[in-house]
Amino acid sequence: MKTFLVPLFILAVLLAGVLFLFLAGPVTTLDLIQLAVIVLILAGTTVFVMDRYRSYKRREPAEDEYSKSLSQKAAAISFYISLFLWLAIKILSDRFTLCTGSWLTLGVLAMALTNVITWCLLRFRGLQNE
Amino acid sequence: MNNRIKEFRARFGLTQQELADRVQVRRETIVFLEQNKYNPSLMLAYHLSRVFDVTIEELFIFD
Repeated sequence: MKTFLVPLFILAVLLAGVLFLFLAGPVTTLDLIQLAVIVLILAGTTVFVMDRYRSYKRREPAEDEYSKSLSQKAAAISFYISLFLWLAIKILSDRFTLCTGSWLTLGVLAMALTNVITWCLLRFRGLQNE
Repeated sequence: MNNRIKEFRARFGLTQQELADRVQVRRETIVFLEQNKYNPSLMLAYHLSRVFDVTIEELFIFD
């Protein structure tokens, strides 16, 4: 039963976001980009949560030295990338007209996405000689 | 750095999950160790060598 609760919760959040987006007014390109990023982050979170749940079922520790190293390395790399990301947003904000809130939302979502992608890439590649 | 964890695990007839349980890590850590995609901490290397009753030098091959 619990196996279905996590995906159901994620699906409910996603549906609520989509409904809010379409009921709030006309949908812009920026709205769709934000929705796409949210979907990607939710997909990453689903993988992460299911992974933890499998560990729980196997009675393994939720975190060990490898998973901690992976998270720390992903955080360190994504922080470095985020610095350049905010610089790019600053340059773009001079050329395109958007409200400050939208730029901030884009920046935060892009940071989260960077972290998820970095974590997935490192997990696939491994942490050789680090 | 290479290691002989897979070889020793087969010799002792342990599954990856059983070895992971013995050294208190997740199974995926054993998977990445066997694929040489992760270098363990000194503590984990010590625990692994204790499970197989060998020295760290016998289990891990320093290039």
